[in-house]
Amino acid sequence: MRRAIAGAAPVAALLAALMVTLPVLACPVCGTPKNEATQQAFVGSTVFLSLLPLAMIGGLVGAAVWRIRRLEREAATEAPPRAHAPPGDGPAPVADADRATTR
Amino acid sequence: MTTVAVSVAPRPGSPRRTPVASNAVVGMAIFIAAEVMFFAALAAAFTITRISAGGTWPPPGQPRLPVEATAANTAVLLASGIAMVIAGRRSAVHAARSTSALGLALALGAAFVALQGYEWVGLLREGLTMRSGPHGSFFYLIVGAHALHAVAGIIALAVAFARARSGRLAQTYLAGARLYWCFVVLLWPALYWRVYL
Repeated sequence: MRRAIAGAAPVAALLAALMVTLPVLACPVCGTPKNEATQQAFVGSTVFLSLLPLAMIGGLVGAAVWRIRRLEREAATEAPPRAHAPPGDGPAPVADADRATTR
Repeated sequence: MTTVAVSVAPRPGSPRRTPVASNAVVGMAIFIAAEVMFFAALAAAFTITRISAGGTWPPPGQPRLPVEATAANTAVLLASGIAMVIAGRRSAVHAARSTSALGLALALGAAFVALQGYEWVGLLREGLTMRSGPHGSFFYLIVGAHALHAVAGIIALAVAFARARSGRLAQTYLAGARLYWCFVVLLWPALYWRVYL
């Protein structure tokens, strides 16, 4: 019996909360303007401040993509033509990551 | 004792591990994003207050802002930004070649702040203070916050200029300082349009 009451209590609390709630605006001041122009200013500033972070994130991602593509283009132009290199002729290409081990 | 050289050839098609941006630039970009939100919130609050006041702004009895003189000052700051961009491009070729452009950017930035201070003295004499009303409060808050950022940028430019003269200017430092100064320069026309016009 106690378990049944304990299980029903959250449901009863949720139903009670749903009964007393009223529709509200997400912007607490947008609904109480002095005039139409002020209400438009509230709504406009809310939209502006909501979209600005998304625009900045998009700009940073776009700048990173642009930079990556530019680096890839530079790497493609700087890379030696491997297809024309004769296999086995001449010294082996030495990369920057060469390591020397002493025994 | 034998020395063995191990050659590590990159695999075909594997991407080069070249950093897209330095840590200084990434950190500065995140900081600038936060500052943009700060100024956007100030501008939004000012816009609502201005529209709520009705059609007349500044309110009656409050001094008018020096629109023309500040427009000329805006041109000075934009010229400073252009000089900074030129300094960055020259520094990509050789660090020592950026000294003159850095000095010009520094001088123009300092002139902007000095002219802003001169303008403030005149407005204070006319009675526009932080306590004279929302006009004065928002003006000194928004323009003062930008002036503080400009002073910080001038300090960064002065350090970059001194390092360039002594041949110790690092590209990462210059890239961070350039990004910050471009933010200060490009922010000002938006604030001028919002506050002065």
